[in-house]
Amino acid sequence: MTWSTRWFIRVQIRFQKHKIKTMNKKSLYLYCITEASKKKGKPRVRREQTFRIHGLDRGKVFAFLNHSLAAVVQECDASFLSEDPRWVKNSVLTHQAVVDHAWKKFGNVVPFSFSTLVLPKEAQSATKNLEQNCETASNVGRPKRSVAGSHCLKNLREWMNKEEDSLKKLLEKLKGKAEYGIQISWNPNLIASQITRNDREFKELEKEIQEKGTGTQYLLQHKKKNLLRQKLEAVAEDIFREFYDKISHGVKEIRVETIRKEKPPRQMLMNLSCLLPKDDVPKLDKVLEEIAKGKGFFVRFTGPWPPYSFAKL
Amino acid sequence: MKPTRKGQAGLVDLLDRVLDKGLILNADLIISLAGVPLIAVSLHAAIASVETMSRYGLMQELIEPSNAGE
Repeated sequence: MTWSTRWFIRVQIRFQKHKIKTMNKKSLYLYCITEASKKKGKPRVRREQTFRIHGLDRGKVFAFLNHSLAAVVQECDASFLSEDPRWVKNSVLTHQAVVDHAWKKFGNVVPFSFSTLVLPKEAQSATKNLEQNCETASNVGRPKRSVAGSHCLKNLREWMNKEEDSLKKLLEKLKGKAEYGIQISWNPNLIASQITRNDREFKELEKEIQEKGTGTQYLLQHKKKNLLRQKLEAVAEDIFREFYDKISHGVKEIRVETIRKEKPPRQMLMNLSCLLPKDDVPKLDKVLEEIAKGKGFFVRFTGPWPPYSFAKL
Repeated sequence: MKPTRKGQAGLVDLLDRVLDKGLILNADLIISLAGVPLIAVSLHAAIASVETMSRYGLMQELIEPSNAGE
């Protein structure tokens, strides 16, 4: 293949990509829901507005209102999704940056999961003017520009109207709170050595192993391994309960998440998502500091995050 | 012990939240694209690269004051 053929193909691909990008702008990508208000002086969305942040593929992010709620959205291609990991990772970070921006600005958001789209009902031209569809069209000072297909906005408004009460309740619950991640890990080898030194049952078994012949010793070694595993599991369960009680005491809501794999010998004991007022964080700090002082225990404390884990209707 | 969003732990926590949680809708014309969480497994490893970390630290640069309208 000559260089000119390669160049021609490359240009064709670029042209096709551009064509798809400009022709399919019919969907709405959803970032989060927040409160809308006509009253001044409150950090709420008062009119349809553009945000000072770029969305996915550097698209414009704007607020779309129903009566008391605002959805932070952007127009995008219906076929925008790519499985290219580089695209996904950039998009995930962009999603979070937009949600963070809205959270910081309005103080309270219900974040959407990554890649939540409103699709058009039927194919039609890429963009329609918001004035035809948006209740806020007559608002003075609203930036004049066209947005996603009318069906998307209509669908979104229908959904917002339908879920208005539940979303308002959820926003009320989340007000003034943030999500924090807590992961506690341990080094089971340290606990295992304590068990082998101090546990009566274990000591008796070790004594028995020394007294028996080689064949029996092999079986008893196997039994010893199982006993140690059982003892460790029991200790882990007790520790989980103890830490859970201590942590849950100072938080509004708590969710137990799946534990993650850690680099051996470290093992994760618990992975929690906690919802609490930001003012209550110092109390939780103290509890976690106390836990982290324990020999062989490691604590990770992340946040504040928008309340992803508690965004359930 | 202060909560942090920095470092690999913060990044992994962020991914868990953005990809696996958040409001999921179940309406006819509102979809949450399936399949993306599958990418998340390899993404967790890929995203911890230095390049991405620095990008994460520079997220504020996405905010452009030139986009007036707020």
